[in-house]
Amino acid sequence: MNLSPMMSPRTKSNASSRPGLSGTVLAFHQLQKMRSSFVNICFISFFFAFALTLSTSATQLPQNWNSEFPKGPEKRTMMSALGRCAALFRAVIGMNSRQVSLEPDPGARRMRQIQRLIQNPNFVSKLGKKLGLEIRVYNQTPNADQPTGDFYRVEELPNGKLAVFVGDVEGKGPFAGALSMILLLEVIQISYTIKPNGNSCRTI
Amino acid sequence: MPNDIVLILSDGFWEAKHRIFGQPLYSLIRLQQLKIPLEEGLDGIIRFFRENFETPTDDATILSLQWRGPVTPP
Repeated sequence: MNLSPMMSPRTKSNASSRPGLSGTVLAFHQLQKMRSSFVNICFISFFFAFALTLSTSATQLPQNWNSEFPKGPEKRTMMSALGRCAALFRAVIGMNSRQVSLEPDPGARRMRQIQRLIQNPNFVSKLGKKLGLEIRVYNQTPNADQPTGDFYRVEELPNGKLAVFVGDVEGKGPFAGALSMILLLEVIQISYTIKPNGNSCRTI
Repeated sequence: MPNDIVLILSDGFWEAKHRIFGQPLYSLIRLQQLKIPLEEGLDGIIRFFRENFETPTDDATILSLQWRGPVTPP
């Protein structure tokens, strides 16, 4: 297949009118469009089915159902956790699906995005410098396009202290990266309240 | 921690962690503990690990922290 550089995602809708493309490429485009439509229809159907289930089951719930629903801080925590799960789900699904695009590997771009979230030496060194700490990072990764399980972060705490942590998830790839993201978020939250115990956490 | 450099190691340096501390959880080392000249910094610790321990084949991370004092804004 001869894919010219002009075949960017922005111009893919004009693929059928572009002369010089072989029939195989055009058929490939049509198949990808059909697949995208099919996925959209499935998603919409699932959404309506979910809404229908929710509305029917709501009628069978006990009268005090609303009072059992978390309120205040608990509700905010739960909604925040749900939001994180949704973002994570989108990231993982996006990495594994081949979208309608002529990019060589759209998953690799997302993996690099995740890698930047969990391992960001520039952010770490800038925040450290602000507080008088020189932080340097040595990071060894077997494959630059593949997220690893290592993550690190520096957090400025409200009491003026700096929390520095390094974590590791076994394995590598999208799921190790995603798990690192979850752990990173949790550790950021914990770092505000954790008491150093001299073993896994220590005041320097 | 005046002038000293503190290093935090990820689990990729498992052999170094086991040999130095006898357990994998602890990951905080001061440069002076390893008798490495302070001016060598992070490069010194990487060289030290390569000479003394098995090179990590998996992902591995070191954070080195050195106190430089508070930065006054210009």
